[in-house]
Amino acid sequence: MKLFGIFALIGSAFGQEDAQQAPVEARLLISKKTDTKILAENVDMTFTYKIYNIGQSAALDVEFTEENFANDWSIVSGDAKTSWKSIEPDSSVTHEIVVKPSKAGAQNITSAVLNYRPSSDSEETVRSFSSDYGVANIIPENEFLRNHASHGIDWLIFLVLTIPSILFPYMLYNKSVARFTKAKKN
Amino acid sequence: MARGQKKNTGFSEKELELLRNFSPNTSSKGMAVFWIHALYVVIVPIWIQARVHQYPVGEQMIYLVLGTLLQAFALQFAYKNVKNVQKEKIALQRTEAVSAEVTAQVGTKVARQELEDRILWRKGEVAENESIHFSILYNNCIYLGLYLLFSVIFFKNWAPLTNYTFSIIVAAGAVAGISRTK
Repeated sequence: MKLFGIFALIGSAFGQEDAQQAPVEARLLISKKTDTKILAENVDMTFTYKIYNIGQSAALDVEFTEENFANDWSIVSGDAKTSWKSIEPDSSVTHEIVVKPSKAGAQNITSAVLNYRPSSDSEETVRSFSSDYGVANIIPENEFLRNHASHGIDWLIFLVLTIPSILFPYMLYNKSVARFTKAKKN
Repeated sequence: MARGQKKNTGFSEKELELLRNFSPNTSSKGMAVFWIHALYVVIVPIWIQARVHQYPVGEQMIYLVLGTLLQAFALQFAYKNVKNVQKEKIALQRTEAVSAEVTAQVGTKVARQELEDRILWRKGEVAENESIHFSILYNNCIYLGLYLLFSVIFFKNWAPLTNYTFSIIVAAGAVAGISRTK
């Protein structure tokens, strides 16, 4: 019984070592995230997709599809559908999309999809899903503008608008004071 | 006295002109300047309300129009009061300088009484203009400063209409209220 236990332990150690080795065929993992802190209507958001090949073979005919932004969103830059001929083992590629929500409220942002051939011998394609973002609470545009926007240009325009009210009377008053102060000295 | 006949005040035309020069009443030109400045300065905060506080201008325009008219009235009231207070002070300060200027211009060409009248008239004119400019500058600075303080800092989380209403009440009210102090 004790001998059996020792052999089982040795066997499981070898088994674990096998599990930690990279898969022989290509295996793609894809992460999807955004660094945009405030999600607001009509405000650009950048989604970054990082695709890692953790397999030992190159992934071939990789097709990326992102269908989350088809409705109530507009794509500012980047492609919702793109492809790569191959992704080498132990390497990664990055893809970015800039999108803009046209509607406020809670929106569920799910996974992007990857289709690829795991090896040159394989004719079948493998489907892989990215991490999903989850529920995005898009705040209305006016709330964003009121609470988060910097309004730099607006304040500059305000300063220009105050010129006739402050600067002109000041200049006229100062001119008169200077003139009669000078006259008094002379 | 027959109807339509003017009452004889006992003053000559020149004396009447001098009296008008030193009266607390603002000339029609001065009043026009006050109203134009008052209307302009109370419209400027609407830009901040619309852009920073996202005030719905199209939907709630009536409150802006009412607010503008009431504030303009308060501002021109303040302009008049501050101008009247400052005019006396400025007239005293400018006596020497104005005398020197007028004397340099006309010298010994006119009689002494005429020279004194000219100096008085010129002093009144200078005091009137300078006090108008000072009054507009002073009141506008206080009005805009108070409006920004209350609208952007104290009331910043209030709804846009409430923010506007209370900010202008404080700003225009304070300006009108302190305008009579010497």
